[in-house]
Amino acid sequence: MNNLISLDSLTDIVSNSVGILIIFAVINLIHDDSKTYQLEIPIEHATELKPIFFIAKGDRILPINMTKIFESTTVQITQGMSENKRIFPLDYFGLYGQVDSKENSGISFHVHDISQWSKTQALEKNTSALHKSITHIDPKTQFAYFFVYDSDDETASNGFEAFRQARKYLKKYHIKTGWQPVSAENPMIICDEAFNESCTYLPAYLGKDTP
Amino acid sequence: MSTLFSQLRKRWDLKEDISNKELLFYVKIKLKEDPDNPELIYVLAELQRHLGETKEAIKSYKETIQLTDQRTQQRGISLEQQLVLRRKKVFETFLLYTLFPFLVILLSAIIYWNMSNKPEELNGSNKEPQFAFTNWLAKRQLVEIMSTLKKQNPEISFESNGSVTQSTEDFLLSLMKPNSLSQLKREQQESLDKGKNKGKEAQARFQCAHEAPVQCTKQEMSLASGKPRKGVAVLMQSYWAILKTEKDCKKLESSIETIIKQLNFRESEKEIKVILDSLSIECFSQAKDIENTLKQARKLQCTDSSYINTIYWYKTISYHRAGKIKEAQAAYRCYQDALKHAEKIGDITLSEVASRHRESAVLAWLYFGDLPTAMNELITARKTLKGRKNKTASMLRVISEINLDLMEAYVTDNVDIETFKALLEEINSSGLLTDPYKQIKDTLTAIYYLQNKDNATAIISLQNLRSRYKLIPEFICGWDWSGFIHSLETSTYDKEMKEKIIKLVAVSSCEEPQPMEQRIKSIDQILQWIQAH
Repeated sequence: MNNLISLDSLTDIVSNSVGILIIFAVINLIHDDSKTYQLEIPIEHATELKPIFFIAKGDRILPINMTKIFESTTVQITQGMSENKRIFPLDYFGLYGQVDSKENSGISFHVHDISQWSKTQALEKNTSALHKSITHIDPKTQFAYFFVYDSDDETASNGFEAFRQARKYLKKYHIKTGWQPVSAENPMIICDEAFNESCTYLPAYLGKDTP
Repeated sequence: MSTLFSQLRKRWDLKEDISNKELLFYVKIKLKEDPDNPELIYVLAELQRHLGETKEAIKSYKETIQLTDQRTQQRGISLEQQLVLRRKKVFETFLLYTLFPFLVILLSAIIYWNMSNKPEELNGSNKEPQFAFTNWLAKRQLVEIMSTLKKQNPEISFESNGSVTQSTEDFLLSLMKPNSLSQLKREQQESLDKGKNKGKEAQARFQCAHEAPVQCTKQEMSLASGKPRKGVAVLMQSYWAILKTEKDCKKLESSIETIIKQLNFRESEKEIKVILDSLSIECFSQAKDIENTLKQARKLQCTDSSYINTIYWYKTISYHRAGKIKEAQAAYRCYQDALKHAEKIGDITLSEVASRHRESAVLAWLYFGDLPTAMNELITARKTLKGRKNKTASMLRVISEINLDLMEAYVTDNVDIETFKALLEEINSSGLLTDPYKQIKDTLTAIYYLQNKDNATAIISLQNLRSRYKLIPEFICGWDWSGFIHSLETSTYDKEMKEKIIKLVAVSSCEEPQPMEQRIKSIDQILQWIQAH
């Protein structure tokens, strides 16, 4: 009787297969959870706060002094440097401007060099310009708005990680944040919603956070 | 024993007849070659015993035993080492066979993970870089934009678009192209601007009979000649977005002066300069800086009189704030005359006409407490737009604002329930009110039902208001309650009721800065008071 068919091997095969399937199911569940986490849907809301603009690219962040930028832009426009969609230097941390009169939708700002920008590590340093510009934000009247570089080349220019770090840091100071993705082809544009509906710079919070 | 010696003689090829002494000598020679050989030492001991050398024999025996012991120990150590090696080999085999399935699972999981997270391949035909998350967001926003467009412009048909073959989906995709929405907006803006410019030429000739002509210097009036420069309009559209958020009026004024000096505006770019100046006047007026508001109003009037209603709006408010009621009344009459003049000449858009009448109502109500004039102006504003079949988004927005103003007038006048309910129904069904305006609507509704002793409905409105304050991320100022509060002073309500209404107004007012929790607490207190009565 012992020499007839033995079920031991079959039992082993079945139990191993079931075990492997369970492991795959667990991995799949974990995978799905992380997907949900990755999609951080920003919920924007109307505000009376004034936006203070920043650009996040690579591991660096640049606080933007709009007065200086627009003064430089005005000089370039009056000198005719902006004609024919020409990209002109702004003499401001590697930023360049571009005016497309036909588009009628504001001025585009291109980033050519980020070497002078502060790294995100500077957030924690009390003496850094980035730290100072952030601590100068008054949460009662202002909020931080980020133009975040969205690129498929994560190591070179994707600014999401820098933005996330800055957002986490700003949250400590109760400063609201808003953001929009930009890229080399679709750069940062400053325009007004009175002329273009999409030109809004609003604070946003994540779906998982309470307002 | 002689057998042992005979065997040795044979093994070593010695003659059979050699004596034991000679054999002993031979053994000693052999021992010199191999001194640690226990067998030889044993033979030596035996030979010594046979030859009567007892002492030497004993010594040799002991040496044999000692060497044998050493050999035994060495064998033991060697065996132990072999065992360790064998055990290590068994353990390695065990590990390999045990962990192999887990390694296979881990490897499969890594491959599966990588396959799942493989970046989306870009469409080769599309030159623009595409990012899954950004596109997903853009699509969501597009759907939102489309539904808002549909809501606000019921007359829009997405099927046409000049192409019979284009499907709705294709049209939606075409809107995904960069600047397609701004193109739509621009076309709308251009058509509005055409009408506006014609109106401005006519309005430029307006001179109010109730005030002396404004004395302007040549410098203030004259601008450089030349064609409009490319880029200046775009620059201002862009800078406007930054300047309008500036709350520090002196800083704003300085920024505007700097840019005006830098650009040295031309006559053909006058409108852009006026828009910039109007930002300053708005800021000073909101900051209740009377002197600077009037200074900016005069400056604006000297540059261009096409914004005459805006100028008289700020003049009325500033003179009133300064306590110069006669001048305020004169400025308000100028506002009304300028509006009549613009309507007579025509060519200002219907939305603008309605907005000006609404503003007129606000001035009459807030600064002169003139409810009948305010009501008339609001009704005129409503009539201007209500009869229109194809209402634009801006018209609908103006209607929603007029309706809310009218609601305040109805609550102040305590109109009959049917009239109030009809207006409330219209406001609720329009879906055009923004969050700050919804708060005002709920507050006014609660006050109306409270003063009419309909406590059950008042409670519902207050609970709605409470829910809004719990959910909104930010309290936004959007209403001037001063006219309403002023009217309460002359009302016939009892003291307790007045107090509760004033408390409710304070909840929705930005005059008294308070945290959201405090606003909710105040609502709860009013709710408790209503339930107790």
